[in-house]
Amino acid sequence: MRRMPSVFVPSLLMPLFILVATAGAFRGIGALPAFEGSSYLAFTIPMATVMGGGFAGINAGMTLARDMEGGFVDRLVASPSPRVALVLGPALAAMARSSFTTTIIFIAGLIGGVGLPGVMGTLVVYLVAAAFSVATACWAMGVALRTGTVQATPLMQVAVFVSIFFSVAYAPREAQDGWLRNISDVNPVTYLLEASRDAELTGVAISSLAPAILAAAGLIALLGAFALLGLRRLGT
Amino acid sequence: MNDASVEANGLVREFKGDVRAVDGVSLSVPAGQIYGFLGPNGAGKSTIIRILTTLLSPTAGSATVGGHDVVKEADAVRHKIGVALQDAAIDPFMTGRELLRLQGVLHGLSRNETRKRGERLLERVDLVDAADRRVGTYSGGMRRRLDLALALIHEPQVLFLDEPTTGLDPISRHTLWNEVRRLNRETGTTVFLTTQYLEEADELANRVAIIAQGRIVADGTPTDLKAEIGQPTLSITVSRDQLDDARTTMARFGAPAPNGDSGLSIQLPDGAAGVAGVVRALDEAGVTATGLDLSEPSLDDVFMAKTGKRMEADEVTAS
Repeated sequence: MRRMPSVFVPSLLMPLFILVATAGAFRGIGALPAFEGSSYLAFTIPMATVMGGGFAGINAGMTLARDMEGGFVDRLVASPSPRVALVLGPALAAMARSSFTTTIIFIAGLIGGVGLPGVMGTLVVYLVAAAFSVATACWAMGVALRTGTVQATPLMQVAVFVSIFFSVAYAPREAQDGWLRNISDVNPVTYLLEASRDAELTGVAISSLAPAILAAAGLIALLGAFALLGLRRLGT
Repeated sequence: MNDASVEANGLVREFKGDVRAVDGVSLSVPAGQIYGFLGPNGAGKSTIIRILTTLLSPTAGSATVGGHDVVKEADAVRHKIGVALQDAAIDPFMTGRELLRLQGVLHGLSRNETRKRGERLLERVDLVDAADRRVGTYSGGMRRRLDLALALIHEPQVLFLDEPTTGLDPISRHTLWNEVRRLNRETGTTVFLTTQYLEEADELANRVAIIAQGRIVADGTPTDLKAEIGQPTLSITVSRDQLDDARTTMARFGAPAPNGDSGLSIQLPDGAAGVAGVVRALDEAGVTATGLDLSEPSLDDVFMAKTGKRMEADEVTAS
């Protein structure tokens, strides 16, 4: 946070803002049958925490790009420490940032009258956001390693936002129809959000947790490979 | 393993668009030497230093640093080198002391060892008072001195300095030169530095390679390189109405070249001993020299002799 407060603070405030704005503006649609009587604020909390994870991941890519532009990465690469630390370190930092944002979102939920979803439920919400932060960090760092410039930030951001918005971020799949439903069905973020949402609203469910674990593992494996291949391009 | 601290054989580096930044560079730097790599911007200096510090792969050729191949044994090379790259690539949000600690961790030093060496280096580069300030608040000279300290935390065998004094004021430049000399003298660290400043190469380096368009065009001690060019230059200034008489007189000693509006220069085949003869001849011809200057060949003259052009004016001014 101290290194790039201009990046970290908005990445914390944006999920919070979207939580408040969305829950306020669409409070009424919580009454639709597909929402099964849950408050829209509670329904939105998993989206905000996952988005917080996404911002944390983008932050990792932006910081790496900035360090490449400034030459700081050269200092790290010229040292005997393993190069993979260039990717692993920021990914772990993204997890920590994501957990911080999730805590803030939970506090905002408590203020809005939504209690914590029990120990297991809370843990799942944290883990889903953290897993998404690692996946997006790998994506953003992969982009940074290939472009070496902060100017690639919009590319890092757009994929993350599209993946969130074309999922079940605002409405459950039962309430979606047509092309949006088709995209939701194949979007891994849908399964992350569903597991987190089940944990938040009704309790941890294996039926949603198992697909989420697969989705997270797949995303991290794929995007991790993308980042590591980018790392191999350094100095070639 | 071999005796040279740094050795390169036929190094080539090409970039996209058929750009050949390094074109068959071979060099050998014995241990304990300060080796200056002199050339204008875009000559290929930084590309070579990036290859030698394992930051960039060569397209062809090979190089060893500390006896290890920079491609096949990159990790071993990284253990032996200290690197201070152009623009002092240090995180402005961290303090000097934090950066030294980070650098120690990166090189696998214990916390205690890092602290001890860090304090010693901070004293050495005169940054004790600023050690807990963010680097973003440092002046250019302070950043360079910190960069030098960072490069030395693990006591490297070979220190690479990429244009270490570019953008520094004369006082900061001389401070850094003194520090590099002291380091080389006291610890025997081999120093490989690139520079675009003639004065820096002349003052600091035991041996200089001049590079232009990716190729080494001259390599030797500054004295030997200048001796290769040979003759010192005598420049005189006369009043304009005596310029023709002066030219005729000086032509007896060599080929006078114009030097400004009312000046002439001539290379003296007999060295400084030839000055008296020229002055006497001018006097006998009734020419009054209002200014007289005898200059030894400079590295710029060497550059000129080898490449057919001078280094850019803004690249040769060292202060």
